[in-house]
Amino acid sequence: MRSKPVLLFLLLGLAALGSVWAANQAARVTQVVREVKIIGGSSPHSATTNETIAAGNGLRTGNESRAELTFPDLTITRVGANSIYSFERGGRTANLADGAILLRVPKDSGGARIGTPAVTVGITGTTVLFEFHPRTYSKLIVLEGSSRLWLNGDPSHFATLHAGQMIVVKAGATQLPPPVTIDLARVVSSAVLITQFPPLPSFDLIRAAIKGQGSAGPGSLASDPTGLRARDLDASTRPSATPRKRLPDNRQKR
Amino acid sequence: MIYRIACLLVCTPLLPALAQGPDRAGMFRGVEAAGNGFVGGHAVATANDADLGDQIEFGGGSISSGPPFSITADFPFFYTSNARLVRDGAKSDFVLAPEFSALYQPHLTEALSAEFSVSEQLFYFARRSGASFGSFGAQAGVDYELADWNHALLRALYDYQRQTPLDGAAATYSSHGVLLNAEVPLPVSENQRAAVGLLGRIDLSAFPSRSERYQLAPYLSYSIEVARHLSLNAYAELDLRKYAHGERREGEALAALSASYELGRYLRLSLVGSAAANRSNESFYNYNVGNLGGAFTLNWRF
Repeated sequence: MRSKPVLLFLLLGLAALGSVWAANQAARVTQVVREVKIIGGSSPHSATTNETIAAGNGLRTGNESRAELTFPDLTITRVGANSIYSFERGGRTANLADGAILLRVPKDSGGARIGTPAVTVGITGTTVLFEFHPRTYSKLIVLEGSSRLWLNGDPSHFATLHAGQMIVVKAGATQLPPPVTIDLARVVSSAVLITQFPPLPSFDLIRAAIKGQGSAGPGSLASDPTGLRARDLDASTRPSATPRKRLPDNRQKR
Repeated sequence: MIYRIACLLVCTPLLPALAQGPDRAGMFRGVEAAGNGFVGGHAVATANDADLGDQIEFGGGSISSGPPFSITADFPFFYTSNARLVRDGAKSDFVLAPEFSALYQPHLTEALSAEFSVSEQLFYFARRSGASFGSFGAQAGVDYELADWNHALLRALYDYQRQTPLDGAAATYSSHGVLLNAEVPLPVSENQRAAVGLLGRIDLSAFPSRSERYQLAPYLSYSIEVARHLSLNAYAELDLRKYAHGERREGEALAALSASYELGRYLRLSLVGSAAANRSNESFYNYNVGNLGGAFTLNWRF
């Protein structure tokens, strides 16, 4: 008889832990643009801002429609137009059946993975743009940090991408092409998943990556903060105090 | 739950209307993408290009993708240990050296851009106002970026320099020259930049003619963004010079450090310091100098 209250207490405790765990796995809808439906649950319905979505469910967006989900650990997922997306593990396992997402995973959060029927992307504390279409192409752009992409059929061969790099994989590919360095500033200033949403928590890192991508510029011409070159030129025109073999020429050459 | 996700994945190919929205699909229609998925420097068009933004190969680089016009007003003010850069009897001074410059850098191709610039810097010496002078510069030429060589930058410019005392006297120096520059950015990390370069300048003519010279200057630059808007910059250069007339040869070691804080989009505040040592086979031209001060810079790109 004495064990019944203990058992009840344990069950209540487990239930409380379970609800906390479930809350940590859920996402909050933080932005909705046009036609966005929550799918995977018992009744698919239009998404509304601040609505909570449980793990295992997802979003489906229409034309010119987009959405943003924010997870308790500040993992952020933005879903592009005509996309079908679902998540588990507090957003750190993303399944993209079609369309595009932006995924920002905080550093030291244990990493994340984007799964599709063809390729998988592994992420550790980074921000990426990813697009997948089963019959055409997959595209991965790393905005900051680094990530890996591999073909599902051959995980031992992967491509590692760093900030500013992009990989384009054709549907049915059996080998990965080399990553290409792209103009990150152009991406950031034109990507709707960035420009039509609030600044990302990782924006400073992205900004640093853009700066790092730029040429250091004409350093010798730009790194003279105290005008030493001009002053040296001024000094060099002074005639030497010592006798010279050639007399100074006062005529300006043309 | 697994069943639901599996359904989503399996049913996906049957879903219609996946290729809608603004994209560049027509741009390269009928053009086969290369093995890396790029054609003409652009990633192959896909349905969600609007979401991902412009995907352009980093060939033209930041030089060509930025706005072509730039106007800068720089206001350095500093203490110098050797105002006249002399060997004996060096006198310290305070210097105000405002500089106004304009740059036009139009993009000609993905990798090639033209460059036209003019600048005027005025050096006002607080104690020796008679030594104040202005330095005018004008340059025109081309920049070429080598994408396969870590985005190395090659520059070839015509360079005109003229110096005039601020008391209205005639020019004390002028030169027409060719400036050649090769610079290779070194990959360090996301918040750090480094570059190594070589600068050469050949005077085609100079006034006074004893000033006509040839310069070769290897240099190294480094910057790190230590916090948001705050960066530290270091620069070192060895400038080797041979004068066209006579036997005069020189070597000048120059180092500069600065800490810059960006106040908004257009304004930057800096602490600056620099030091140089010039050694010549004509010892009259030897000097050492140190400078320390600050600057604020207004820059507008459009």
